[in-house]
Amino acid sequence: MVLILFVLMLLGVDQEEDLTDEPIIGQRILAGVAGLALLGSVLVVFIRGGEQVVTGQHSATAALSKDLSNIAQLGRTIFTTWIFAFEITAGLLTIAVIGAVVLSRRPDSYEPIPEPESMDDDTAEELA
Amino acid sequence: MTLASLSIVPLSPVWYLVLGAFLFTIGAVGLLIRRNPLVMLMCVELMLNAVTLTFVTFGTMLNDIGGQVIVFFVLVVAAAEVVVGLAIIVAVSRRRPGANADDISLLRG
Amino acid sequence: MVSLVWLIPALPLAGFVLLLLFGKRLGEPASGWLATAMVAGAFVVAVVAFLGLRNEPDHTYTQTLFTWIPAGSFTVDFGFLFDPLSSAMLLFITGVGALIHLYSIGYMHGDKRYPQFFLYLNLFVFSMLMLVLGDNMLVTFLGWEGVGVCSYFLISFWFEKPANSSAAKKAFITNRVGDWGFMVGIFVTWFTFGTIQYTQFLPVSQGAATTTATVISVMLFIGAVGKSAQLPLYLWLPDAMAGPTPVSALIHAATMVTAGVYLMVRVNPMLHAASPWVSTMIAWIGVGTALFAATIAIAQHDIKKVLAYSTVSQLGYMFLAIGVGGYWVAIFHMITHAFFKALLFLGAGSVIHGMDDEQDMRRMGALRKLMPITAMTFIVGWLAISGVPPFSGFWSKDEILTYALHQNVALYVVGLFTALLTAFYMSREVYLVFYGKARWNETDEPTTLEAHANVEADVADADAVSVPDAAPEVRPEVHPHESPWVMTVPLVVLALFAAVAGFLNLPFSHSTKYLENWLEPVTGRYGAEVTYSNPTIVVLLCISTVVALTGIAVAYFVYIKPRLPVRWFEHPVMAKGWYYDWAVTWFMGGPGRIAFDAISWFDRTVIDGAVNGVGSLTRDAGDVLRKAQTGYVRTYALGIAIGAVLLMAFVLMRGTI
Repeated sequence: MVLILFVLMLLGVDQEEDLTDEPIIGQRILAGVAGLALLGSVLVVFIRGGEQVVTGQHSATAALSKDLSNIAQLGRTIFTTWIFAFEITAGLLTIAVIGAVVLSRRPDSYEPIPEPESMDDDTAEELA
Repeated sequence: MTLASLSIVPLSPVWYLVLGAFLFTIGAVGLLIRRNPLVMLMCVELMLNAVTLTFVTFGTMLNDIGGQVIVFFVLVVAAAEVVVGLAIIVAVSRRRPGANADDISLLRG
Repeated sequence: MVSLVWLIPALPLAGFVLLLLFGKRLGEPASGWLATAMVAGAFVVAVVAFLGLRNEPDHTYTQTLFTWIPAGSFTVDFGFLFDPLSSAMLLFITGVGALIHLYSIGYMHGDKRYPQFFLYLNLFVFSMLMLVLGDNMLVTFLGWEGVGVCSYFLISFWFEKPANSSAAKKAFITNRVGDWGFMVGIFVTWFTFGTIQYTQFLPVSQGAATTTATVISVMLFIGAVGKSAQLPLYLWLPDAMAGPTPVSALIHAATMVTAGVYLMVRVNPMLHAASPWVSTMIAWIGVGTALFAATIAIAQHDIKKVLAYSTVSQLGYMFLAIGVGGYWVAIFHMITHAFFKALLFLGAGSVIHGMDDEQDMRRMGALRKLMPITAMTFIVGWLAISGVPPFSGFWSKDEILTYALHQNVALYVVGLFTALLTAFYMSREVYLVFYGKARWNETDEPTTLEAHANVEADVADADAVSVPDAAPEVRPEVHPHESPWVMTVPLVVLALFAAVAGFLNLPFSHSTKYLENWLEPVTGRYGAEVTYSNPTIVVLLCISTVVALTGIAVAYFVYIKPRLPVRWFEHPVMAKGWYYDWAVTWFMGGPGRIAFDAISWFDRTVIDGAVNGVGSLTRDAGDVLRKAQTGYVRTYALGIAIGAVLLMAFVLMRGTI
């Protein structure tokens, strides 16, 4: 979230998004309907079910222990059972950072943006 | 003194699930309605966090540490995704200020 | 020797292929000689095979070449059935065919598509041989259609004139109407007996239900009516005279038109198993056609048209014979008719050739001295067809009349009257062409013999191919001359046969009935048994002779020594064919056209519309569904959300339902 804040500051978003019109017909209504339906169905299940909602196997990985603190147990599980996944996600994070650096470099020269509709030469030169 | 004893309503873990559901729905509807890419990214984050909450609750109800382990991984992936996504948004907005999700419609049939 | 039977159709087929490939290179007389040699070779093989057939048991020999259609339960072999009937027909088809090929070498001299003519002729002979030799109905049908196609090609040989092409189309289409009947007959035979091979279903045909046998017989008869130009479907034959004369001789006198008669005789057990009214109908249609055509022939001016209607009339006699149970008699008349009709046609061709393509009899006359051989042979043919003893036509026609008398006196009387008319119109033709005054260089309207009564017929006769314009014109001088030897030799040979062929079957005692005895295995079992005592036979012979001579005498008094007015005989209605052609044209142009247009509309709108409709329906559906691809990411996300909702609903409902 902090990153997002930084980006907002970087980009200088000063224009408010126009929320009054919706170019796609029916998007809002359908989105509302879908959201309500989803929420409603999930809530119905949870409230009607109560404690019986949970049907999985108890303590599949490891039971919450009383001796160790929560963090210690978490660390122990990660570094023993799930060590491989941990390493992979570390790699993923590194790659993501490198990717972000590459993506946000300023290019040396700007080529003109290819527009789908035709433009006259003046506008093209302006953008370049 | 647990938090449960302070409330009037008996605080069974199901209420956490309900909260997770609400958060998820808000995130989903927001993703469908908003056009600004930054806002859409924030909604995605919201959905991910809701799911994380649900995982932890299930972990508690099942008396399992696995729920909390997953949180760890989900958050890492979410972070990676946000990083890349923001880099793309920055790159795009530099060239084309005021771009929004509706601009990519070249694949329309 | 009998196993050489496959060579008989193979030779003309080889001739056809060779001419197809090398015809143009061979050029003028060589291609003609090649074609003639092939058919003559087929004749020689036919004679050899015939001699060998006499040693076979029951005089029947079958040879299967290969399996043509191996379709499970429907298996059709390509085989030959060489039995008395087919051998008899083979001999005269190849013999007369060879003579006509020889004749054509001279007749078609100078034509620019000379090799093509012989190509078609050979293909025709091949098809006819297949028709006759086939051991099952499908091979017969192959030959049947083949001769129809060749007839089309040959009639429209000079297709530069549109009238010729129309005549060919008319022939083919009218045949087709008959072919429908033939095909339905084949289908019903297949369904009833499970086989279409003659040797398999004919012996058990008596076991079939009467209705089935009736249906088969009637359908096959419809096919025969189309091919052999009987009453409802005869109108293509006079128009077919637009083709070259050898074509008329071969196809429309000796061979193709006899195919219907052959078919009926081949399936005579089926006719016997059918209801009796079928045979009666065949007899009456035959004799009715004979009478009808004879009346029209009396009033025709074109030398070939007279012969065309005469052919229709004689075919009617053959069907009369079939209808009264005289199957071998029909074949006897077919053989004698082949000789004298081919002779007459070739003679007419010789006259036309000698008169520089003039076909109107009113412009001929007194040709006897200038074309002696043609005249002599033509006169022999005339005597044969008129039924003057001892020429061949007398014997065969009298047999038919005897059998007719045995069945029904009315048939006998009508047949006898038609014989009178036959003698009359043939004598008329001979007198107009070979005797009387020479009229070919007169420049006015032909008025010498026929008075004003015929001017109407003249004007209305515009559909004849060679009648010149109504306005008198100056025609080039005509010098009638005799034809070359290639044309006169066939005439002489045919005249010989036309004279003596009657001795194939003299009715006096069992030992002289060669043809009837030979055809016994095929026709004897179900044919009618006619046993008259010898005196009765002699009386009938005398009656036929008197009738023939009467006809000749009456014609003499009309045309040579005009004591009787021509108007009594040459009625304009008869000249127009009793307006039958006109009626058919009117019907097809009027109500027929409306029906055709309706069917065409139905085909275009409903059937094509349905097919095209499916296509456009698919396209329009695609057009509508295309709208789902908006290109916006958010709609796709919406789709995912809705899908998730539906999944949830499904999972939740699963428990309750």
